[in-house]
Formats: sequence, C-alpha cells, structure tokens
Amino acid sequence: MESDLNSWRWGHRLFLVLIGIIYLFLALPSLLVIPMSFGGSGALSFPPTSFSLDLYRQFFNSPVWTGSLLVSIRVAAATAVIATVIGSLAAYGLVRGRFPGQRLAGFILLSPIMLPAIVVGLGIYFYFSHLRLTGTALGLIMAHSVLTVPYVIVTVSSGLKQLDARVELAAEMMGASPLRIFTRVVMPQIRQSLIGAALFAFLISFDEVIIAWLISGNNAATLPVVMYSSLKVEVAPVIAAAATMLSAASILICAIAGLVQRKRAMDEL
Amino acid sequence: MSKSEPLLKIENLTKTYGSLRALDDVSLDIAKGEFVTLLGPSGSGKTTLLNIIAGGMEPTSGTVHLAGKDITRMPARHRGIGMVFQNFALMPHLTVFDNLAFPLQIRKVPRAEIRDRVEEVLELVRLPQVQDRKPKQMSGGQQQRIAIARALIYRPPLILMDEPLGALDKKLRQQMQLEIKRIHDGLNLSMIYVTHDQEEALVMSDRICLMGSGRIREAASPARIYSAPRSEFCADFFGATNIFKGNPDRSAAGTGLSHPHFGLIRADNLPEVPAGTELGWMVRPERLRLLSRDETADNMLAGRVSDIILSGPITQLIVDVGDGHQFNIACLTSEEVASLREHEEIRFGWSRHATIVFDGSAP
Repeated sequence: MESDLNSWRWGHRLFLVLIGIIYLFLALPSLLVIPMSFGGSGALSFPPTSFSLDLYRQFFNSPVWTGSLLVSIRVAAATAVIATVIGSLAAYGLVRGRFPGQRLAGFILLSPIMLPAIVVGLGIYFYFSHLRLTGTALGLIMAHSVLTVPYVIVTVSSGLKQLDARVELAAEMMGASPLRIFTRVVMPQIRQSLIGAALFAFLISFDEVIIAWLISGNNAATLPVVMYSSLKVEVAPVIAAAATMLSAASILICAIAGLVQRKRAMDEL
Repeated sequence: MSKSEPLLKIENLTKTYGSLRALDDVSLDIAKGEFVTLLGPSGSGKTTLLNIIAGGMEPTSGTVHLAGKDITRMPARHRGIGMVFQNFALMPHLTVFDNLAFPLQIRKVPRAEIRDRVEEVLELVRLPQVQDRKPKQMSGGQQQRIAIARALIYRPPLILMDEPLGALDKKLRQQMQLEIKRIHDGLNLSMIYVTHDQEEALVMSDRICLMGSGRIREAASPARIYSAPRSEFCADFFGATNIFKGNPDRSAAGTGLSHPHFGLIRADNLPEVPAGTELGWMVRPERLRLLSRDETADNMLAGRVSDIILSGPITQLIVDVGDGHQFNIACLTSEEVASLREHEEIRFGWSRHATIVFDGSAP
C-alpha cells in the first residue's frame, strides 16, 4: 500500500517537472525579450552585454511608438466601456428575459468568438470601407467592441446565474422600476463580474493585432500593429522594449482581474 | 370601497399551460384583516395563485381586484403588495438598514422618517440593534424576521407569504408561527400565507383554503375544516385518519352507516342522499379511546394491537380489527399505554359525534 502511494507521489512529481519543462520551452522565447530590452541600443543580443535603458528612451522619444501606445490605450479603454455596457445589458436580457428568438439572439451575439478573427476582420474591413470608417480610431473601437462583447456576455452571464432571481422579484414588489432594479440590486451584486469583464475587454483590444492591422491603417495604428509593421521592415532593437511593456501591461491587468476574482471568493465565505 | 366589500376579490381565475390546468376556475374573497392560508400538496395550484396575486404571472382568464381596483394585468411594482419569500430574498449586498430603507426610498420618504420607521419595525420583529449587519451575518430565523420587517415597513394593505418558514428547523418554525400571528393580530393586516404544512395552517389561519388539482377543495376555519371536513381529500390531508365507506341507515336502532364488517356505525348529521348511496366516513385517531372491560360507547370495536409508535406526548396504536381493516388510535402517552404489548387484544370506541360523514357533494 505504502509503496503504491510512494510511487504515485514520485510519478506525480515527475509529471510536474515535465509540465515545467514544456512550459519553459513555450515561454522562454518570450521571456528572453525582457533582458534583451535592457541591453544596449546597438543590435539585439542575448545575453545582453550591458545594462541600459536606452531602448526605452528610444521608445519614448519616438512619436510613432508613443503615438501608437496612446492610440492603443484610448481604443482599449473605449472598447472596454462600450463592450461592458452593451455586453452586460445583453447578458441580463439573455439570462432573465423570456422572449421569442432568445436562443438565436444569444447565438448571434456570441458568434464573433466562434469565427476566426481574420474572417471577422475581413467582413468588418469591407463593410467599414463603404462607410469610410477604416483608418479611424472610431472604426477600430467599433470593431473591437464587436469582438469583445461576447467575452463580456459570457463573464457577466456567469455572474448573473449566481444571483437569486427572487431578490429582483422582491425589489419589484416593493415598487422598484426595472432601471432601479438593474442599477441598485443587480449591478452591485455582479460588480466583480463587471470589473473582470471590462479588464478582459481592455486586454483583448490592447493585444489584438489582426483586426487592428486591417482596420486601423496608418492613421490609427495601435502598438501591436506598429510592432508588426516594424518587424516586416527591419528588426529594430526598440521592439524589445515595446514587447516588454506590452507584456507587463497584460500581466498587470490579468493580476488585477485575478485579485478581483479572489476578493469575490473571499466575500462569499 | 364599501365596508362589506372584500379587500381582495378573486373571480374565476384559470391558468393553463398547454393542456395542464394549474388553476381551474378559482374564486376567493379575502376580508380586511383576515389571515388566509392556501394549503395543499405541491402542484395543487397554491403557488400559481399566489404568483398571480403578486403580479409575477398573468392568468389565462379571470380577474383579481384589490380594494375595488382591477389589478389582473397591473405590473407587480404598481400593486403595492408586500411579499415574504421562503429563502428570505434579502439583498445580500446591503445592510439590514439599507434593505429596510429600500422600499421607503422608492416612496421618497424623508431620511429622518426612514430612520424612525426602521427602528420601529425592528422593534416589532424583536430584532433591534442589527441595523448594520449584512444578511449573511445573521441566522436563518433572524433573516426571516428582517424579510417580514421589510414587507411591513411600507405598510401594504396585503402581505403574501410563500412558505416563509420552510427553511427553518421545527422549533424555530413553531416560534415564528406565533410571532407572525402576533404581528398580524397587532396590525390588523390581511395576509395570504402559502404552506404545505397542515399544522402550520391550523395554528395560524382565520381561514384555510385547501387546494388540490388547481381548485379550492374546501375553505373553512381551522376548527371546522379539521373537525368537519366535507371530503376524503380534506380529511386525509389533515393527518392520519381512519377512513371507511358505508351505506346510510335510518333503522330503529339509530341513525348511522352500515358497514359490512363493523355493523352499524352511529353518526349524527347524515346527509340526505338516495337510499343505497355509498358514503365515506371517518373518525379522527384522537377521538378513539381504549375501553376497559365493562365500559361502553356509541360505537365499539375490538381488535389486536399490531404496532405501538411512541412519538412524544402521543402514542399511536395501530389496531387490526379483522377483514384487513386497521384503525389508528392516538392516545396520550401513559403507563397504561406503555404496558400494552403487540398482538394484545383490546377494545376501543368513540362517540357518535366523532363520526364524520362526507356529504358526497364535495369533490
């Protein structure tokens, strides 16, 4: 018995080590960029021969890079707000409502997740060309909102399903209007889901390159688009700094989302 | 609204789901200050009826009038009815104070008055000093008191209660039954109380509406519905009973019902039915008493004890009287009863007043 348990333990440890190796293999190339970004301003090299912030200085002195960073932040923030508003209202309707065509409506709202991004991007590209919305930040915000609404719906729906519908019925019987029920009873209870959904939408928009590359053009190029374009021309060392900051921002947002979820779990105890 | 007009008037309510009739032509009047219980097994239509009164669903046909006004299709939020739910349905993100203030804020009651009324209603449910707590920091019984307070605080003319004590343990439930009764009596409120617990209905109600298959099967005061049920369904719902059949017999020996095995069972108040009609009759277990050697009673039978069940103050005896018939006798627990042995031969009897004959007209 005991030897069985022991061999199981050893097998388990071996398994964990194996997972660690695979994980390292996948993550290492990305992680290498980080020390490289603190190397000199010459060519990209690993290991870096000296430590300096030259590449970051280059980044912040270039209007192309800083401009694209600002575009990215603005687009992602606007997308997060729009997608969270639309997505959470849609989720409320889908979870609580009863209307004909409800399942179909849910399916259509979630369809951007199911289609390949390049297909969604192409569709929006042709459509927006007609409307002259390509090459504008507004067009990109709209495209990213379409892309992120499904994620908001999924996140907020799972929050709503935890709620007891009778609490809303109780509020209604006390005389509360639908708007008051949504803002005073439902929203406070799904606050963490809403924050999580908004962060998620921000992150998806901030990282997204395919649709952004199709829609944004030169006038409204986001950070990932500029990185992608600059890679095609020549591998400028400054890209390491851009990549590091992009990763840092993503990890930070994920960490915040994680903390919010954890607080929710703590509140429920 | 004239004085004699009922507070709530329900007329011919029907609710169908496809071919299922969840509610079948139900009419009911509720007077101001009355405590009415909707009692019945699950699927009897009591919850459907409550939901239609609350405004949570619309009937297929029929009307509901509250204080003379047709509210059949009025949105729930305009009805001004109070409701207490089985699972309390307090707002988990708000403190007790904010939960209680919620309906008053909707009614734009000034802050100072809200504070006074919250204190007043917490006194009423005997839970002062919990204003700053969240629902999760309180016990089930405390949460239910807050839920009741929340229904009282905006002074609705009618309060609906949907199995409000179902989530509580037995001892607490009995205590809360009396509390709700006390609050009801003190405020002269009208209440509609849904339960499947017949004991709860008997303890609390002015009137019990027993429901079954979407209809009100019987509606009467607790004393009347318990001691003179008009149907087997109703008699059976109020606990273990001895229900048999018999033919009315008005012979010289006395009026009663003749039973092929027991002979003549004496009874009062035989309904007028054509000769040969078979009627149901019953006698409640607690109306049967054990007879000593030379004691007599209007109705007397003998049998063998097949089971002795002690359940606290009451001991139940199951007695075989032959021909496959059994009687259930409820005795106060005593040394005499405790000394009985299984298979022991006993005699028992009951008064003619205790024989309840179903009139055959009730469904």
